Amino acid sequence: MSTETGTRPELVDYLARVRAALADLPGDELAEVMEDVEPHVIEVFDEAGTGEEVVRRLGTPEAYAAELRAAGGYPPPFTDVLTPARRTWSARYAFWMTGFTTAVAFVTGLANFGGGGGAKFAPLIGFAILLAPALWSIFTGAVRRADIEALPEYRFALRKGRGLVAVLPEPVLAYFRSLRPAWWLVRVLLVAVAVLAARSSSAVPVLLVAVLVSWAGPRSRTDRRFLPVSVVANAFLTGVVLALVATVLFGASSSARGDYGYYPGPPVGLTHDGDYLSNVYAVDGDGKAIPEFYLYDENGNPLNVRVDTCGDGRYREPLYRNRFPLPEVDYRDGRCVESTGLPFVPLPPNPSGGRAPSATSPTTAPSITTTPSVTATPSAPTTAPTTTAPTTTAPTTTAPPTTTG
Amino acid sequence: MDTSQLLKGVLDLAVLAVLRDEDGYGYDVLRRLRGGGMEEVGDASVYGTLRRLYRAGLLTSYVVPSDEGPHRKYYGVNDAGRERLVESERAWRAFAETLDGILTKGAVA
Repeated sequence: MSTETGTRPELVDYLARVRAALADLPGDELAEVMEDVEPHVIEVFDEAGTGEEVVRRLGTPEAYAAELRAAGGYPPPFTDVLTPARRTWSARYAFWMTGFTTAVAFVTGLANFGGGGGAKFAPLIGFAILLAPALWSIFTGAVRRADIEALPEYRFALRKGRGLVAVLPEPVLAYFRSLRPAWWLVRVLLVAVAVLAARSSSAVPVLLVAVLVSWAGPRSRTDRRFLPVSVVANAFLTGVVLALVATVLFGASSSARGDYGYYPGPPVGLTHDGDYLSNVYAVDGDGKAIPEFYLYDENGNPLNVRVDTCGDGRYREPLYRNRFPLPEVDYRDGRCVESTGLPFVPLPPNPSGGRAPSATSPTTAPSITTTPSVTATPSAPTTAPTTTAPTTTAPTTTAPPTTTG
Repeated sequence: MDTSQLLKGVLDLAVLAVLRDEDGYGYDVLRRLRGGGMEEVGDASVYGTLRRLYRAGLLTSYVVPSDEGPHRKYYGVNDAGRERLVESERAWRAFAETLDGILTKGAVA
């Protein structure tokens, strides 16, 4: 059948219009009806030859559908559930609520990976609740697509939107259109990022919305009733994507200001051969951890570094001090735990050779050895004659620019 | 004269009657009705009527694959349909007789 209908646009159009006019019937019943109607219309097209002749014999598709509806005892199309005035207002409500919710979803998406916990989702959830009755009226058919398309503000928005698009040169438009299939790939990436971020307040919304887009998007292509859901969900994801792109592009400048973070910009904190050190541990000659020690540079200045602590949930000024090891902040069972114990087992230091314990792993031979004392001055490399580290053998420690201790 | 209004009321009976002896798909039914003289019956009306009788439990339906073109859905009269046909036929004959009488008297008077 597909081969027969596929070659005749008039026939395809006729059947599509019959189907559209009966679209309010339950899906199963509509399928049964079309199973009768399709062979019939195909046969009539075969006999009649031209579209005009078919219309003369069968009537317009809409008339055909109306006759079938009347003879079949089907209810009249449910467009008259609401009076025209109420339909207009319901359509208006649906249009504006979709617009507002889309805007809020976009802004919430922008803020998704920022701080602020779950409270930032409150406006979006509020608008989603306000949008729900509008969606219901659209899905039940109380408000039809034509009602929304008849709104002056819809036409205005459509004109403005088309005007904006028309400004762009055709190659740019073609390029954006070609990107459309990549959107699902972006969603997959987003989900991956969200999972890696592993903060439930950010990851769960992205996961949910990505699923929502995948569900509503394809449907909205054939059934416009899904369009508001698809638009809102896509706006949220667009916000998330833009925020992530902005973080990648401009995140360097914010971390260079010394807010936090250690990567691009001048290194802040402790470094060794240019590599950032998140912590420093010391053991004595017996391989026993020194639980608390203080670091100074060659001039006696304390090597203050920023300390992460559990805190009490309130914001406070960053804490800088030169007491080591720094507490390792970890989250277990939802609680914040600080620990300063050795996270590795040091190799027993060789007292005669003065070899330092491995800074990385107890099982492999130390590839980079440093002297136990990180306070070694850069001008005295002779204290580490057995070191195998390349070029600058002495560890360099850099204090943060702001020394508040 | 436009007989489509008259046809509407008796289409159920006519459709059941043309399916009484032999099952048929939609276009078969249409052809049999036209062949029987019901020239003005609308195509869509026949299909709507078939669906309504089917939903009322008076017809059975089954699909027969076709080599050329789409498969065809055949309709047949079941026991309930036959019962209904007998009742409707009786009612129709009584009604036709009555109307015939009225028309005849009217013509005489």
